[in-house]
Amino acid sequence: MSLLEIFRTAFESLTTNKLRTLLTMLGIVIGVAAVVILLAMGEGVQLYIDKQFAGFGSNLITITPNLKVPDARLTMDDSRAIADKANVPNVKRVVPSVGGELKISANGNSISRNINGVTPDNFSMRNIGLIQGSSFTNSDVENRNRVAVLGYKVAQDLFPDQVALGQNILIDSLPARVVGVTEKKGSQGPSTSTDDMIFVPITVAQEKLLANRPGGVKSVSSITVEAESAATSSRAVNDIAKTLRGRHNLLAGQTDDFQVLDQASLLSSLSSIINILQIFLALIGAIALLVGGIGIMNIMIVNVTERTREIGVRKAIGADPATIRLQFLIEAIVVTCLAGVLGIVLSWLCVVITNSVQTTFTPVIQLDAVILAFGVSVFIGVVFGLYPAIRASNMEPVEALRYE
Amino acid sequence: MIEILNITKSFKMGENVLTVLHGVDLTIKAGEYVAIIGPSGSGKSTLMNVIGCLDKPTTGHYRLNQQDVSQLSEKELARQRNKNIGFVFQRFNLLGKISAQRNVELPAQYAGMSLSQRRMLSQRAMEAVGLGDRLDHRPLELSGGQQQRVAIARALVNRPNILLADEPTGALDSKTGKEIMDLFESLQVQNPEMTIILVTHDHDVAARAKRVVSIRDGLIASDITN
Ligand SMILES: Nc1ncnc2c1ncn2[C@@H]1O[C@H](COP(=O)(O)OP(=O)(O)OP(=O)(O)O)[C@@H](O)[C@H]1O
Ligand SMILES: [Mg+2]
Repeated sequence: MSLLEIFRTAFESLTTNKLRTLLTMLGIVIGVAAVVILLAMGEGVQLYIDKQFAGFGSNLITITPNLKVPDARLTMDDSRAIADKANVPNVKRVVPSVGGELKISANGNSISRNINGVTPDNFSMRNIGLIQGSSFTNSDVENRNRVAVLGYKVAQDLFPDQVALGQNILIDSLPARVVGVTEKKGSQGPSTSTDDMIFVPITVAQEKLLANRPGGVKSVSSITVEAESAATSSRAVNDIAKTLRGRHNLLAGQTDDFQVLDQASLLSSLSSIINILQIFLALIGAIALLVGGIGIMNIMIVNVTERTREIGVRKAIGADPATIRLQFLIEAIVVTCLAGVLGIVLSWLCVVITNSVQTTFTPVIQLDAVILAFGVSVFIGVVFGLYPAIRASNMEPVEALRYE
Repeated sequence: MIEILNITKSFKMGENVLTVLHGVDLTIKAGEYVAIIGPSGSGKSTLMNVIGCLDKPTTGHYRLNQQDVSQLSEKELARQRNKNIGFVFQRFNLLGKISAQRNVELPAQYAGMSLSQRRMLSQRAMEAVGLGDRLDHRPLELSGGQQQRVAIARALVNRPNILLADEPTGALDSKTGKEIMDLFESLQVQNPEMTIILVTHDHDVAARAKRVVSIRDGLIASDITN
């Protein structure tokens, strides 16, 4: 019998036994889909984290008061000391900030938003572009001018049908003029998006808007430092700590009354967490594939036992062992490949659906995962298809016919 | 032409060896119509399986059309079964998931015939057994007698020169059994070169054959030609 005819027979056998075929495929479909989806999710998490950090600008170091130490506080003078190259040689920019949530009203609308008192460097340091107007200036900071830069969404919420630039708003009870509107940044993960913030000169926030905060009028909530490069970031962290310890008169052995968090080390510790996560996901996928493989094996073996009489009949009417073997092998290959493709399609559908209902987290199908899952399942299918095929082809026709 | 010389057949049953055929000699010429009778367990089916190349004898010689079967490989045996022998079983042994015509087509497919050729041959064989209007029925959608006719059509499709039937009427009522026997005889009238060998318990069935071979305990007890 020609190869084409054997193929035809294999297909006939698969299509006339749809349930059996389906059950065989199920294990592979699930195994392949599981591996591909899990690894796509792992990649999605990685990308998500990368995006978060890219949005912040790199080489950033954040200093906050250590809440565990009573009366810990940071001041504008601390900020100036860090900005001094004599203290921290690798410093590029320093932005102190004071933040808090306040009511903002304008144009008959009233909303509650995060107010950020900052210096003008804030915008360049964090890559926040402006779509209207411009940032406030250092002289605005010195002169305590009541000006504000609105986040993209804040501007839309307050002034849905008007240009926000030049409008007067009321922050708490303090009137201020809008001098700029930021570009749209979209979601930035766990931290509040700049779209939802309002920026004012730090002096205005310190003295007028948030004067009653615990640290007192002179204090700042945090200081953000940009190091010259990612490579010098850890040295800058050390210099900052030394500078602050000196300024705060901390003795050796006394704990820091501030916390320094640099993005580089945060990123690397996050990366190692993600790596573990990905290994974990791959492991779950491998288990799914193994379970799928065992399912295939069972069905294939039951299949041949169940089809012993059929094999006997085929042999009795003239099928030679090689033909029987090839038929069973082709059946196994066709079923597993088809199931592998279905599994890939299924995982693709899942990923497409996930990406269409939300945008924060984007799983990405990995080609190596596809190849791996497909290869492994086809291998299992062929191996466990071949074993029964060989058993079938070696059976004595008389015995096979006697089989109940 | 079937020449069987001093054939024995034993089965290993764990430690024991069970000898079923104890030295059978039998010669059947082309075109004969032979009935094999004998008590249950006497070795009739075992002998038929040897004749049909489904099983090899333990000792002795079997020459089929001047060819020594014991020398043939698995593949060549398969070819013999496919080309020269048509087997009809007591239990029909049709494949349940495919149509009657597809069942009949199978031997032609294993013989390497093209799709159109085997379609034509299988249809002709189905017509020859009176089932030209049941081509697309699945075996289970047919009566017992009809299923056996399909099995006969399958046995005939490659125009074998030997038709072997092991209790072909055993699973059928007497009226249907008679119809199957009528069919066998009409087939031989159409093709006088074809040898028919059938195993039966039924003496009425055996009486229709020209030659009756009786087997007892693995030996030929009598061989009568009427
Ligand atoms: N594969 C086998 N293994 C072991 N013993 C077997 C095998 N095939 C047949 N036998 C034994 O050989 C003996 C003859 O069996 P066989 O089927 O040839 O009898 P039979 O004459 O056809 O009987 P029946 O009329 O009941 O069909 C029986 O005792 C049976 O148990
Ligand atoms: Mg028998």
